[in-house]
Amino acid sequence: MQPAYTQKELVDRALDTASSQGAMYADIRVQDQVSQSIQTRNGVVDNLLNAKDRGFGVRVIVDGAWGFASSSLLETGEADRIAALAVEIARASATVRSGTATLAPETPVVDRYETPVAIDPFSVSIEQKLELLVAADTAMRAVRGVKVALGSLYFQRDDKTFASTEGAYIEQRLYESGCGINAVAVGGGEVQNRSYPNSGGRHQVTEGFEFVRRQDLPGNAGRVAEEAVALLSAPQCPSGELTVVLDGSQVALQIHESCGHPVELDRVMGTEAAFAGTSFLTLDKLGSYQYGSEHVSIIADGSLHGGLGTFGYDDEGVPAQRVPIIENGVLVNYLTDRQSAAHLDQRSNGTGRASSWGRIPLVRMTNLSIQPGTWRFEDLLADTGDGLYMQTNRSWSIDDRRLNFQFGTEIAWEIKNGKLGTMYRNPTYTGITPRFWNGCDAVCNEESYVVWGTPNCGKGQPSQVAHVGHGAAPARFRNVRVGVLR
Amino acid sequence: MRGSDAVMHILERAMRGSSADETEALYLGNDTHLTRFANNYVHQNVSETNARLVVRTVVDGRVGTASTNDLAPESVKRTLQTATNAALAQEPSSTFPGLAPSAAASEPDVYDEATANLSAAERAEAAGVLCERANTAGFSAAGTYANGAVDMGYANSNDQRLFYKRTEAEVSTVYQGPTASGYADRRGTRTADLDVESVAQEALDRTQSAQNPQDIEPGTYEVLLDPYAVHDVANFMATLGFGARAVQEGRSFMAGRMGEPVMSPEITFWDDGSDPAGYAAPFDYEGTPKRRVELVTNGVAQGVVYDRSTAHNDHTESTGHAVPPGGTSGPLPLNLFLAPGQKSHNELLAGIERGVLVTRFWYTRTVHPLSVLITGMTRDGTYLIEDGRVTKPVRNLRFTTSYLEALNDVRGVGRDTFLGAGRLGGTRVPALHLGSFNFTGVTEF
Repeated sequence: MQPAYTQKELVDRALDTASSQGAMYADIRVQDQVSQSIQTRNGVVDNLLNAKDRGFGVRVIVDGAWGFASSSLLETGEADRIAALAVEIARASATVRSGTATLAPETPVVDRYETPVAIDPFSVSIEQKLELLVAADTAMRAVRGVKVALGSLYFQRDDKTFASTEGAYIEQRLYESGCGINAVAVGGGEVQNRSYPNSGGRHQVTEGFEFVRRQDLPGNAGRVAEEAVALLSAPQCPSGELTVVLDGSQVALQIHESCGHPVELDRVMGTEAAFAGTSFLTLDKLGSYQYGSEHVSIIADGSLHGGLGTFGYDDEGVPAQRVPIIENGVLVNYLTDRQSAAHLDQRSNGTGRASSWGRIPLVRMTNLSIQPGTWRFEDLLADTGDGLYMQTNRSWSIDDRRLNFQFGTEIAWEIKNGKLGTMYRNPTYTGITPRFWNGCDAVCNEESYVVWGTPNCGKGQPSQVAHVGHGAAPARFRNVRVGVLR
Repeated sequence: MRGSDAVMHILERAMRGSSADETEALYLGNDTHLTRFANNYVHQNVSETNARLVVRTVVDGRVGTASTNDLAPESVKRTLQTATNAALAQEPSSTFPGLAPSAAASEPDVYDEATANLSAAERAEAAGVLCERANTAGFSAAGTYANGAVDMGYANSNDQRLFYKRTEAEVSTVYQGPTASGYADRRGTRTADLDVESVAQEALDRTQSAQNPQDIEPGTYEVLLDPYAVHDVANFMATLGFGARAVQEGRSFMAGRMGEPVMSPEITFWDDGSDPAGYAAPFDYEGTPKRRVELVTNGVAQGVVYDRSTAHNDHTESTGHAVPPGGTSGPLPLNLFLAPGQKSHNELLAGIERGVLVTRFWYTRTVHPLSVLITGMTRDGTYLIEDGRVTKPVRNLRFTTSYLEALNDVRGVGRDTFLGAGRLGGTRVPALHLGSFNFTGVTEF
């Protein structure tokens, strides 16, 4: 076997090889990730997986076109092979070219960043983690009618190095912690599910184990189970055009699907047309388009403490930034990486992110958050009078330009005379994005504001799953079409 | 790719010195390449070489799993220890059924050297053809051309030893016109079988006929679903209905219905991991050879797929349908087939007085699992059918409909089948004429 390189030597070797073979620009990302996922199901450990995943990817511009190659083999000859392959691929790209690949200018940085954590999640024993999940599982299954009790913990530590022929050399250590429980009730020809703290298996952040302790899974398990069982016999959500109050986690989902994706500049420019789609927020709308009401201000912030889309630098070496996207309802910025920003003669706002060493950076959300309003939640309900309160996402679907959406939640309550009343099952609502956001007339304040984690954001070919965050509070929307099951 | 001997050597090394009651090692390798184009030029072009080792150990019924893609001897040894430590951290359990016994698997011929080694220049040439055809017609092409190879090895302390390798090839494109788009794709195990010219022509035809879409009122329509759309229907039936875990937990429409009609007599589903017409895979992720499983025959529920754990619960044997380590869905049919009928595309059209022709679906999600109630959008070519022929393109529609109910009213089945991407595998299906499909909204394009 060839002698192992130090990481710095491997990085330099790959960049030198790429340059010597004709690359006018090259960068390399080396990534070493450890993760731990634990799932319990009805009192049994369904999965306990400790994973290590490492490798490197070399990205080059040759003859004005892009190439990328990657490998899990951190060995002497492999750095040369992969760099040369990236160059060969770029030369092939250049045969079907339009214009010249360009990067927006960026000052190369030499730096190190680490997620601040109070308790390293990998320092906590598996026994302690299982004890927590089993306690929640027991509490859920103590409720008669619960068929399946699920618990989930996930922890990740990423050591990433980015270096470029421009002189950048950035090392980062990023931590993530996630947790969640679900109770599934089955009976009378119905299946109903309740989740905590969020749907989709877990809520996730860039914090340590202190986050998991704060969520108090066992303390919420009984309520979650009781609601799942109660939903089996709850009445079907009514249909009609109603005033709707969405809980913070559903507002987060709404931001993700109907704002986050359509403001990705690569989508706007058509480079995701074959898969993720394009965007109704075309370039002519920048700076003037009334995306939402005056109550809607949305900011992208890669530096937000604890957000799942928080880091020091993106995967092109651009520092994390706080950027207004929607200001009092008006579209004022797109999410950009160095490649897309160059088309607008702008600097990147730091959203070039890759899901692993084997994938290229794409424009991805960081933490895209609606700014809190002035309402206390109880006051908002009281002011609403009659309507519907919908909580915890269950299904989500939106067209490929991000206009027509239909979302469902796990549970809803009637708002009657300013208070929560009857519980409803199978709630859904539908709309057209700008009409929906222009119908927003109230956002709750910091008291009910949470930075939610979305660990399952899909985009790109080959597919990439990004981890992004959304700060959100409950918000009210007028004239919403609800109950579109049939 | 490393090849069988090298992979088995890694697996033997991974199990060596294990103190667990039972030990298994799984190797998952890939060498994959994808050229992506948009706006009529190649904008992304990537390659990945990776290999992952997953070690599972069992101590007193407690199961610990660890994985790594660092295959150096010390790392492999550490992975075994990490898995064992994870097992020991748990309470003893009596529910684990044990690792797979030794048994031979089929060896489908699904590896093509030319496909594994196709160069970036050859991929770019194919992408260039698709871009040039679109450009000539005044359209904009986006899509991918991909090739690669995967290999999988399995070994356990019951002397089970298995290996296979497969190549994969795929081309897909969306052509965008001024007011609408059209789609085409082909998949298989050999790049030589991908007819790029026909893909270009199909996308071109769809896009030209999709321009200037008109509004139609949402409502219940007959539909002709092209195979791209039927892939989605089949995949939801598989994930929500055809796995033993969903049945055992009462979440599947198949629960308590074995031997009863659950769909139209026109519908026959089965899973067959040995059929090279799909993405053949002779054994599953826990080392059990795959069996052909009849799921629905002429509309009657026949069976579901099992892994070792769900088979243990039902006092039966695994059918070889375990999902990769870490997956918690339970077993799934990853090589799904829907039986073809006798009708050509035009014959299917001729049977529809007024209906909607759907090229493909987009962003489909479960609204309610038991009834397979799904919502989603149409995309890349939606048309009105009147008196047996396509009369005009229509704006994309949102649907909220029970796929299960829709499969209970089948008016016609196409004779040609197409391979589509399934969840981790492939799904081969024909076109379907369905009698009732519930469109609940319309978008602006």
